[in-house]
Amino acid sequence: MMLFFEAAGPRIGWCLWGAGGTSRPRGAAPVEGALPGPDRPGDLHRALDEAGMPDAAVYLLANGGTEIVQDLLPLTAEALERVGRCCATWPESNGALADVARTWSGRLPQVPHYVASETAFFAGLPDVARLYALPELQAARDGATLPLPAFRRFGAHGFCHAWVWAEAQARLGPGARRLVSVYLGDAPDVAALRDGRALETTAGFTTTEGLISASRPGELDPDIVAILLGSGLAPADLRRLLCCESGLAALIGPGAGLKDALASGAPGAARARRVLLHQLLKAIGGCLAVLGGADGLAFAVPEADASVDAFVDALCASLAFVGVRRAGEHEPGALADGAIPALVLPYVRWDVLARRVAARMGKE
Amino acid sequence: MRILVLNCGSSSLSYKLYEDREGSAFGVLAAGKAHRVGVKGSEAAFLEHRHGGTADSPLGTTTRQTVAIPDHRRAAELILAALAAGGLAVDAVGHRFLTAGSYFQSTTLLDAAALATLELCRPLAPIHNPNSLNAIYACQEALPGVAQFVVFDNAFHATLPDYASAYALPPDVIRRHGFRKYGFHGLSYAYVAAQVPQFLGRPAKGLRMVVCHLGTGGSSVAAIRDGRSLDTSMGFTPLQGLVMSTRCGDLDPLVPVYLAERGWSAEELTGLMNGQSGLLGLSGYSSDLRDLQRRAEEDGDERARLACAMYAYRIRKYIGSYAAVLGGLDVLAFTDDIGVQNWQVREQACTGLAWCGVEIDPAANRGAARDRIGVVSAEGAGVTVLVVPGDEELAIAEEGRKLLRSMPAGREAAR
Repeated sequence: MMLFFEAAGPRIGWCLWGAGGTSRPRGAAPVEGALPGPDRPGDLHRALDEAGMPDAAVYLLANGGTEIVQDLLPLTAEALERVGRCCATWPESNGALADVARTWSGRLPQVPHYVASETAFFAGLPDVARLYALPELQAARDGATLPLPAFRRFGAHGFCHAWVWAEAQARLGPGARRLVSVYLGDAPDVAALRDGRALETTAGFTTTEGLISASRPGELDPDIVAILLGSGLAPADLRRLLCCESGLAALIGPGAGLKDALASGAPGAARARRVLLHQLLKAIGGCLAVLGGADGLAFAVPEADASVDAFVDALCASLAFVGVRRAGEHEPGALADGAIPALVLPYVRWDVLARRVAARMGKE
Repeated sequence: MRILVLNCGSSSLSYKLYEDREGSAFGVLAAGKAHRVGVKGSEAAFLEHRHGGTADSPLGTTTRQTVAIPDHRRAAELILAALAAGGLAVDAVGHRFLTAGSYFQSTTLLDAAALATLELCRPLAPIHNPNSLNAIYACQEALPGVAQFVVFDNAFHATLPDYASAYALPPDVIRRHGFRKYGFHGLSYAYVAAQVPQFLGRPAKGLRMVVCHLGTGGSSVAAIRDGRSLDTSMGFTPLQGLVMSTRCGDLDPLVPVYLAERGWSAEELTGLMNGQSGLLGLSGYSSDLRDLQRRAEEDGDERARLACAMYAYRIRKYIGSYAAVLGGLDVLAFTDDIGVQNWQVREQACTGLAWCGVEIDPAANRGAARDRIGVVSAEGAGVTVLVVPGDEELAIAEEGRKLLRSMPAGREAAR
């Protein structure tokens, strides 16, 4: 059993995965909750009383930046400092995870604690994909107290894309060296993978870059930010606008997610679906250009249903000109007709993470 | 009637003086270009001026004047002086204006009110609109009473579908500021979209094209089907998209927010992203691609190499993206200065695109003509790759002729 912590909006969510024994079927409902505060346990104490001690506690950083470039790192004092800097730099992504790690490593001294970084998988992006065309910026302005972060592209959902690579290898064989991996969740992104390494991805310095998501705009002219700032919007308002109030929330309504966009009916959903399809097509085409073509296309789908199915079919139909064809559930390996197989992989995030942590612990 | 067309780029000013003979095609009396206007680099600015030929071939001699050209006002003054020195009078002046947002969409004759409105449009294209205004003021001063009109460069992208033009920001923000993807280089795309079907002897209907307009200052890509724009890389302003000479192109929108939190003002951010980034920002010393290609090749300069690599890489990604949007590709065209003259960029941008049918013939690509349309794709390749020298000035002159003929007052003013 694993205990995970991660930023969930302004709060820290927790998840006990595998409670009730390791033989629980894949996809079984986890025991989940949110901490009332970084040092307040809320329901977690009771859940631990019922479930027993976890095998490990894991603090999942959505963005590890230049600080954490290993996917799993034992929580040492030094690692904790790094986590602290990641939380300060990306408050929307990482929340108060450092405070939580400090508290819970003290509360559960008998179990190993790890920091997990969703961006580590992208630490080796080639320079042309990792950099922005910006000059080297000098440290912060007079009177500014915040340090200047390194503006690099860090990507997102690294555990997912690493898992997709392994799954695709298992399905398609070692000949499938070039893969376009699509994470089709509330904050979707696309990655170009070659020989298991990431060459390109749509998420950048933060997940505000890239595809339209539940609350972030996707494609945007960066000058719009300067114009809004010039019109009197404060930086904090801009941050909220671009992280919390845009994207599907702006096109459909507050709280809208991928499901609302894909299931027709909700007002604005058809339009959001067209935007998402268009941006995904562009992202996949861009990855094909980077890879020089692909041997496979894979969709990691957290919540598979008929609307996701129909959407993937529409995407594959638009890509039929390159030879993309959806592989049947029981169609193993490369497609007989030489087409580029598109796989739909049900993605159970905590399960993937728990297996990765368990593998790591087995090594030690 | 003689129409002078002034076409301000971000670091150049092209011009042509047309003779509009009733009922026939335009004749060109003079042409030229101010190069490296306001450019930081190792080579000097200069003015190229061609005129004084015979009736059959009016563009006889080319003069090249190396001269300091710090801004577009000075560039326009030099051009007007060169024309005056050649005894060439001007009846009307047409300007390319990048965008007037929602203020103007169609070709407009300038009066005091229109000019005041254009003044409001400076921030919509913070590099170009001030350049064009500078040229307009230079003409007002040197040619008092001569009619001036402006042609807007984003009209071609009016056909963008909603899913490509909409930014997913809250409706009240969109309403208040009019944010949408306008796109730019429309005159150039319109010209290429008209030329290519003629050249191929195919109807525009059904033709799927990606056009790369690669200028010395600004660059963009457009996806065109049936002669209509489906998507383009520039946005509300000409900042979005490709890596350009001093513009960063695509960037995480939170980056300027982080800088604002650290004391950068709106003006400083605009200056940083538009004027200090791109090739200049990456290399640290030059905004000129040819400069950087030389330094990368001859001196093995790592920053120059990276800048050149990122420049071509971003183009390649956009070609792939737009091939996917179009559901396949029939034509890939390169236009404007770098697009026509720089075979290295074409070669690098087309690398690894065989999956969508793009394959270049290296020899044809190196030897592509600079003064007429040429095919540079490999024989048997699925996609016809073309080099198409542009003629935005002609498109501007034609717009001006239509406008001036439709307006008695304008025609009077022009005469």
